[in-house]
Amino acid sequence: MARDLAEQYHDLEEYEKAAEVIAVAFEKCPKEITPEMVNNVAENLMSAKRPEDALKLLIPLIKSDNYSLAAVWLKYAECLQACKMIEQAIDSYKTVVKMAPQHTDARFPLSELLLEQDRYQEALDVLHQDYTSNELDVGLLIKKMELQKRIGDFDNYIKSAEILLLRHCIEIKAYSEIKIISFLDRSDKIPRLKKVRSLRGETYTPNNIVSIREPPVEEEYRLFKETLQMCFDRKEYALLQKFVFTALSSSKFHKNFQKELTILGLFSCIYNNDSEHGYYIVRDFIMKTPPPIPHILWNLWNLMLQSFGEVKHARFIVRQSKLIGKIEAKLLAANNALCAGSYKIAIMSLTPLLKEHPTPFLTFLIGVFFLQLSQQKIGIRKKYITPIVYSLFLHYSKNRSKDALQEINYNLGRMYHKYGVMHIAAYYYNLVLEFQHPLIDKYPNMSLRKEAAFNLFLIYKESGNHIGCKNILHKYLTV
Amino acid sequence: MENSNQTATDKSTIHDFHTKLVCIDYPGIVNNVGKMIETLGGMAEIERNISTKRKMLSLKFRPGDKYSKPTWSDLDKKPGILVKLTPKESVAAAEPDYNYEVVGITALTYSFNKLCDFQYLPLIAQEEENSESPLTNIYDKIIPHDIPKEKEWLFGTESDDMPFFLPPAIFSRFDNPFNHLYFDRSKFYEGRFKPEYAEMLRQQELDRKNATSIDQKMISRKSGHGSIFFSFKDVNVPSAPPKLAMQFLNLRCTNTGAYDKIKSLFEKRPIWSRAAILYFSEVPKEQLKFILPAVAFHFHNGPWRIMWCKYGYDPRKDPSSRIYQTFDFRVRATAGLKARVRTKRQYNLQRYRPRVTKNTPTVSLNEVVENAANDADNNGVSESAFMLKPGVMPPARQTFYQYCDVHLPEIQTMLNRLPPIMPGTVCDFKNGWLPNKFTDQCREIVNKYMIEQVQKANQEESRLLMEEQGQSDSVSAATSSIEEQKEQDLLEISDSDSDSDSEYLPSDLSDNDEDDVPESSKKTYKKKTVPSSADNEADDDDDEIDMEAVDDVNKLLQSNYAALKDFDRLVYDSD
Repeated sequence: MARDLAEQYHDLEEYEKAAEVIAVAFEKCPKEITPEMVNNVAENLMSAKRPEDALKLLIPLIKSDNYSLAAVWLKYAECLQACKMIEQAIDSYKTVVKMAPQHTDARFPLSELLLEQDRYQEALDVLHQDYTSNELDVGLLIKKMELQKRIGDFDNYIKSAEILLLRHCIEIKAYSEIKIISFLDRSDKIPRLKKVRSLRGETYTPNNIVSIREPPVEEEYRLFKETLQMCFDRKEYALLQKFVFTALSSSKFHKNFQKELTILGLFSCIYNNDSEHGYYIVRDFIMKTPPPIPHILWNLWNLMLQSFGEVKHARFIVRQSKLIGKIEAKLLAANNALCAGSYKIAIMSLTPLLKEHPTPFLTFLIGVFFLQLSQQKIGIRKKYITPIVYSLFLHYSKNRSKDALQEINYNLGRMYHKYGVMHIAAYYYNLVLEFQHPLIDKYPNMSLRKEAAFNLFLIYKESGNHIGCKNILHKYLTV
Repeated sequence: MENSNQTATDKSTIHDFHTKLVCIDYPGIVNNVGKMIETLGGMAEIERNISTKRKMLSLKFRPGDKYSKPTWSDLDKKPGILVKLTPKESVAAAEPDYNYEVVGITALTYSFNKLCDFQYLPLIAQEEENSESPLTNIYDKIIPHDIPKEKEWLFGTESDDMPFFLPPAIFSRFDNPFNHLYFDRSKFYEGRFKPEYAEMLRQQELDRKNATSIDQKMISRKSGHGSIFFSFKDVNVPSAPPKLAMQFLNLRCTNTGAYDKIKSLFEKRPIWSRAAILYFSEVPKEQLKFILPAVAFHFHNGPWRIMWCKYGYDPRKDPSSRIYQTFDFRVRATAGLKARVRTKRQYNLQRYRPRVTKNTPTVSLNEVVENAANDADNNGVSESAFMLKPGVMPPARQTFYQYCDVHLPEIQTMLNRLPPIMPGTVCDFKNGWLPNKFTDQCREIVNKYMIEQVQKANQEESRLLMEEQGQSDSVSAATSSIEEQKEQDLLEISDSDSDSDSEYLPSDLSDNDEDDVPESSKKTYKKKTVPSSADNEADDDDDEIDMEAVDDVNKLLQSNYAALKDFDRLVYDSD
């Protein structure tokens, strides 16, 4: 009877009256009232911006034994929140969480509320879940990450991000696994990993975590990039690399983002000074990109060699020489020879180019080769080589642009310094120290002032000019 | 007596010298320690350098530029003492008095006394470059300063037409000033401002000339110190050392005991590998290179290649010499094996070693110092360099053994079971006296041992790791955990329990603001550099490198000599 009446009122959108009926009915014959009905009425009262009335309706229910269900408590908490009774709302939400731990509807608003109250730890605790079980509530985890990001808890954010990622990625456990993951196709990766792990006496077990409330791939990828950005902004380059490389083994990102991820992997290698894996990635790009190969790849390939020790690339240069162009191939070969100490081979490969392309870089490079040759202990006719060095450096200094005057002066000073003509070296170094140019103002990293100051410092030190040393230290070499 | 008693009981005179520190003599005034460490490549890099016994630290004045070339440090093992001074408050200002306290001793000192390398900046002209052409900085295009969006960085339109920028990894390996000029400097000063200076220079030049005797000039690496490089196909085995070798021996090796020792070794066994001789004779390498050519000749191919053989002994005629044949073992490409065994030759530069990105094992500073000392003691050769035993890993990915030094039970039984050689059999170029495929079988066996060994080592390692970290969160991907490593390393290296940060770096000395010049730079004044010896070192290094290619190069050079001459002309014309 009361139920029908209340429902009719409800349908007619006269919620107040429905509420009155329910209140009366609850006292007289509680059996006629269902929690759903009450919830509906309360919901509608709330949306009609009358949370106080809804509250009145709900209070008797939560006090009774039969009706104090999680759903009712949740509604009650929402009402309290709407009435700005924050403390009570928090308590009610907590009751909901206690009554229905698997339910996450209460956790989000509760954590928000706690956050507003600056109770960070409690907010995080609310979002906690058991990570040892085989089930992961991804929605909850993402929410937690958001929270951690907002309160700036970077360390725990990283941990959460890791858990998120490892759902569909392979955990890198040893150094030798990085290479496997970095550049091969995914189909190859798993068997190779198995092999490496069996060698270590471990077994490869894919993780079978059941995820609930899985977000779409694009959304998760966006989140992943956000994580990367955070690592990068904090200069945590090792972490950055770890994340990217772990993601490279992902089954989820594999389809749409493999190439982009590999590019990110290269980027992280550069910043983390990991030339070994960076080198393999660039080489892979070079081999798999149909010609013409973008020049930047060669530049990056060479960049990797700046600190990569192994001499494995001589043959690679030979094989790729058709794609890169004659000059560049020879340059790379010469670089390789220079690092291996075979100056004559280096000179041999570059001098033929000099006639056709006497670029300042080439003359400078050959000048350096000859300089090395003239410093060797035995055998060569040093007398004849030294003038060649001087003239090559002169040629370089005449043809290099005036914008790089500082670099010219530095290298000339360095050359004279090497030959022990200290007064001329000091003259050039001083020119470097005084040099001003808009390019240097724009890119302070392109200023050679400190290098010149250091070399000048060495000259002064050798000659016993301690005051000069001190001046240089104070003026230029203060870190 | 009284005095000494007093000092023994006075507590203020008892100092703790147990704390060992690493001193980095930084050429600059350090206000910001973080920035200073960045110029040295970061804390992890410094630790790696120290713990892996790489002798050099590198200092990049522009750490933000990956193309910038560093200056390299020297390493000094002379101990120093770090003393902390605090002014006493009670005493009147007229005569300042200090409390002092010994913080620790420096076990290793890195100082920077070498020239900074040449630099070439990534400022590139769009057109053909001349002195007027404007330059643009392409650094940011090569290395973006933020995480790249999509594929624009590598495969965008701009990346296609980007100019090439391909500088070598290093420009110059000689980084001490070279004071030898090819004209008489005294002539320049003669009759000018300072005649006495001219006289001094002339005297110096004379002294220098007298000091280097003619005999010493004779020494050239090309001669190989008189060694005979014997080819398998040569007909007659040399029966006596060449004259040159004996000359070298008399000239450079006055230690007759060493010569006798080597000689007796060759009496016991006619064929030896160099590593084994170094190990057993304990003769220093520098002497050995003069003694060996006087005692033995060198096979450069055939079944005994790279071995030294006694004069007059022809293994090609003696089947019993088969146990001395060379066993060339290379670690296979099986993933995981290579991670364990290093390549023999990386870039052969003393100061250009690979950056090992993997976590280096934690080493205490004591170990580093002791190891360095040990290396010097046992000639820098370990037994594993020539002997293969169960449970020993080869020191490099390619190692040459002699069969008699391969102490694996299977292989030794195989050797013992070999059938006797029929008279009339000819020694084969490839297999020597051994049957066909014998080497392959041996390689198979050794590889099995290797894999077992690697597995064992890996398991041991992971067990240790588990113990250390606790099984709970072994999120130890190799690229990560550098942070933890950092802390661990730091603790172990400085050998102290707490606030090691402050003790670790001597640059902290510059905290004494009342001093005009920081301690670190003060010290550098006092030190005299010895350019000549350092130069020698560099040259010796060079030795190794050039020997490999020297013959080829010479041939090439002779044939291309004309081209070189052409080149000379070109250069001069351009001026």
